[in-house]
Amino acid sequence: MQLSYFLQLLLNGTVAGLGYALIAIGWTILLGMARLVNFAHGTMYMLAAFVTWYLMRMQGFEYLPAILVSCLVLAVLCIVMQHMMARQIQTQDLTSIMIITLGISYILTGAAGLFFGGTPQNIASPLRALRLTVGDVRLTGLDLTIILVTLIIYAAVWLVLRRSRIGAAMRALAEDGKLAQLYGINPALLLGGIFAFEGASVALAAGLIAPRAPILTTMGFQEVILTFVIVVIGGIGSVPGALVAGLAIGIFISFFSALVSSAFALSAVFATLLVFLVARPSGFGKGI
Amino acid sequence: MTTGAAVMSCRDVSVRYGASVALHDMSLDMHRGEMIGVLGANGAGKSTFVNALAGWSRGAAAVSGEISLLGRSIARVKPHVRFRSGVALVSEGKNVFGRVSVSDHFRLIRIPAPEDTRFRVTADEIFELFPRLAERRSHLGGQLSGGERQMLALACALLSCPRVLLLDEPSIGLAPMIVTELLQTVRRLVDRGLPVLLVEQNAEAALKVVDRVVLLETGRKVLEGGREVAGDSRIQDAYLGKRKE
Amino acid sequence: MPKSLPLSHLFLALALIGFFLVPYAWSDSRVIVGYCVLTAILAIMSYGVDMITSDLGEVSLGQALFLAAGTYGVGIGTTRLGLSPVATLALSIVVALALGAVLGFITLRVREFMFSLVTYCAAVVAHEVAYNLEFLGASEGILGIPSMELTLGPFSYVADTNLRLWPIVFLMLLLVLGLMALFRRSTLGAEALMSHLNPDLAESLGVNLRRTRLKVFLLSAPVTAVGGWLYAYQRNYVGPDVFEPYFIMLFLSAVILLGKRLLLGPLIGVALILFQERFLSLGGDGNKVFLGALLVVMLLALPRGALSLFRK
Repeated sequence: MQLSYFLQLLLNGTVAGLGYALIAIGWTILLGMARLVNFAHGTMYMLAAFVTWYLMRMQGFEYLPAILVSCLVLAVLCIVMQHMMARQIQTQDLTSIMIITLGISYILTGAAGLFFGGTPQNIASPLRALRLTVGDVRLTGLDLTIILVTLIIYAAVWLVLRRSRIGAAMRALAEDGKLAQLYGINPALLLGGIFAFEGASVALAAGLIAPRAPILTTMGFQEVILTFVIVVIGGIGSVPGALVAGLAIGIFISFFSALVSSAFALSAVFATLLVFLVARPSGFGKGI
Repeated sequence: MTTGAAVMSCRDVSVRYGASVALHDMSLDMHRGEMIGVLGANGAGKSTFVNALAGWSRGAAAVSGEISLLGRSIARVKPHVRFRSGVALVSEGKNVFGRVSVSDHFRLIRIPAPEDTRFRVTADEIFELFPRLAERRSHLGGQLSGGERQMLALACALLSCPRVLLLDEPSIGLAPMIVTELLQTVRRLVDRGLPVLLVEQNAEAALKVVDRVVLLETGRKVLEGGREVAGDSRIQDAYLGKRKE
Repeated sequence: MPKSLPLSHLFLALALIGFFLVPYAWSDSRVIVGYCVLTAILAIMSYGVDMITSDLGEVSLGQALFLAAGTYGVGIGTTRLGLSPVATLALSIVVALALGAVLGFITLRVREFMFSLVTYCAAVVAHEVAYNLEFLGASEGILGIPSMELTLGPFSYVADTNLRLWPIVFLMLLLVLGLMALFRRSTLGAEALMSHLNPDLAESLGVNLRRTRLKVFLLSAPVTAVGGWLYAYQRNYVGPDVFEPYFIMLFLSAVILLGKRLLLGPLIGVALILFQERFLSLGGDGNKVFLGALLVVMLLALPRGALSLFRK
């Protein structure tokens, strides 16, 4: 293989992988901190992509404001979800929560279909037009943005969790929600923050990643799988683990698609996960 | 020495868990500079009472009655808000986070603005009071010994500049020497004005440091008085750990 | 085990007999006959989910795999291998069990929510595989599945219409109902329930929670596969559409709609949901919103099922 080809695949994989990591960060935090599984995550990604598209195409928004509004919409949606499931969250009824989020996912799929229609659309990000060349390797402004934004967000989340009061509060909440109240922690508010972060981060990810391909209201399932695989391999609740896992998976898919088959890339990833589960069910990274 | 109006008071507080009543019509006032000992055998309702004051429980407790702090009712207030208002509870059993470090525990506490009604203590004073914690700042809660965990929980409660301190069985599982040390530390704080409610099964240790005594039996207050009640036969029974059949 | 009252047995028998007679009573309405056949087939599939969700208390989102084993077993079995219906049934069940075993062993040591996630991912990935693999017909699926033809010596019975397929479908439904009743009375059923309601007690009594989950999972596989087997012959078509979220949503809703561990619960649940879809349709997307909302509302407002409104 030529070096330039290899490097291009590596770069594409890095960009894609960091993108997956960005999609996964909200879910990692939700699972690691609140021990909750949100099956609507992938559908939320789809919804955010369509909200961004709709605002740009139908309402004449610019790219960045559209993404910001979409982040707001999704954050609000997630907080609504949190309040709907308040009782189930309090009693840690994970089975119900899984089914409820599955149901919400289906509602959102149907609603998106009704509102946005069934035709594939494209988000026209102006960053894509920006072409850069580093040696023999090409990337767009969007690729660069994905790299930077993901690294920044991960660094910020890491710092907040490790160094700030909110981070300590979240870890306390994760360990013992009842006891946390005796330390002045407001579980509902903190949980709301975690849910809102999930919504906002997945919307940001959608705004940056969805422009790379056509979007459909039936999409979102692949994102759930990738997210899940990242979180499991990276270690549940581990922020650096998710970043590394995302990167690894992105690069794997890039090479696998180019050299073997792109149609079965996801299946290959999943097969890797299964092997992983048998060998090391608790992932690589340590929980926070 | 006690001064003036009650800092915290409760009237006819009852607690039910489902159909069973764990606490009946409890009334009590807490004053500045006063330590009240709540004694009684296992299951007498001591923890239930002190948890109700903090608005907190691990189970599904239904609390009725009046509870007020500095004259304002807090009966409907959530536990984390009560904590911010100055009701600090050091609960029995697990009262620190095993996976959070000592310094992160302190980070959790929001230090309120200085105020007359609040007990003022700085982080440096905390480390003076509990030198062992200073040495173990980066240790996780789960890596501390039993006595150190109690100190940590107490230190965090004090750091929040409370108006009232509630201690639920701080001596459980601790060596007698450490218990003495802990209670004497608390007594010094009381002498500086902090109202403290001490729930204890270890009547002997409690009687050495408290100003007033309340005895609970099956959820009811059966005796209240100053230290002179130490001679009462019912207290004697609690002292010696006997239970009346 | 609680003794069933004879009254409920009587009701059960009457309800089933009544259900059996409906297509014959309205035999000239293709709509009604088709509705009955489809209800029964989808109900059979949902009993697999019922076992796992109502009794074991976990959420398996991989039933689509067993459904697919059933349909593709017929698809491959008839068009490529020329197998008889009995042989395709055997093939379907074997494939379903194999898939269940693989997934089950892999998830043997993981926690409940991981089990759900892994089964979910397995279904999505299986979708991708079926969609792309030529051998399985790729995105177009396998067309031209012959109708079910049962031969015994010189006699042959061809189920080329819904009405002619009905007795076979109904027979399978009865078998599945019998299996469910037996399961609930069996040791495995008791273990599953105990693992769900009181895991600590179960473990202290020697019940291996993970193995119990595996066994129930494996038992549910052929049940759903049988539904898939019938589905293929009914539609004369097999395709990757069986992986669409519609099916798992339908199964979960049907199982929780009336209440847990009611023998006819899923059947009535499927009947009601299909009724809305067929006769009170809100359009494809509208129906999705309705079905999703039904599931969510039921879990939030009536977690014990609709019948809890009448019980107290």
